[in-house]
Amino acid sequence: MIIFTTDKEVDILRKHSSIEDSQKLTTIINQGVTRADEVIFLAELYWRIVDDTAEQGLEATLEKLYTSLHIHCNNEGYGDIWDNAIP
Amino acid sequence: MEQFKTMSDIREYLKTLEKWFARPIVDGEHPTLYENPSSSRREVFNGIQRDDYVFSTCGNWILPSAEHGLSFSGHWQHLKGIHRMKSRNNPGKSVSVFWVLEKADIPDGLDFIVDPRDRKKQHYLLCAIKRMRVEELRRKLEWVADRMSIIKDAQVAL
Repeated sequence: MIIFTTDKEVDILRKHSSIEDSQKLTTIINQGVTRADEVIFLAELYWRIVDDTAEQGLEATLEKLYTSLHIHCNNEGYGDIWDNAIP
Repeated sequence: MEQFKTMSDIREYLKTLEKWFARPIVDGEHPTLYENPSSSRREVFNGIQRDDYVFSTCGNWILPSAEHGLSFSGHWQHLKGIHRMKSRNNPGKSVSVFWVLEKADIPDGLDFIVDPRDRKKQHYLLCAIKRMRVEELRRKLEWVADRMSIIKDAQVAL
């Protein structure tokens, strides 16, 4: 399970994920990443949110969200894949 | 003030330092306080994010917690990601890195504590370890900011 510090982090992930991706997102949040492609999925979603919310004052939440995902991926042994997906 | 053209330059520089704690800051923002006038009182009070610290019910006090605090990178990998996020989320603005050494004189009542979730110890929280008034925490965070060094990254290049 991914451990977030605020509900706002999860809210922004859900808000910006497509209907098709929402089930996959829920599974990853609840079970944690178990494969490289799930890390890539999270990274692509995160960086799309960063670009889509430019100058909207969401930086504090995006910082917390980055940290939660970074820590989780690192803890699970996928730190290099998470880092290499930084655009 | 050090001037660097790329994040790789910053990385090489930080490697030469002892244990450090850093925050990427968008040009014009305060290194330890949130002074954005668009933030609501519900989210930010006295320059402090409500989510970052544990406020008392009356709102006048900060309660000690090793799970709450201002976010700091303690490792290059985390710093790089936060820097990139702030750069992309604020197009056209430069993002500098403010940092402080572990041995720096952190004010009484505050301490750098590793994020309890982080087994790799890359993310730290500047925690309140004593109960203090909100105004007192603000003064201590200003004190820390005054002692932080700056790595200017005007090019925002990678």
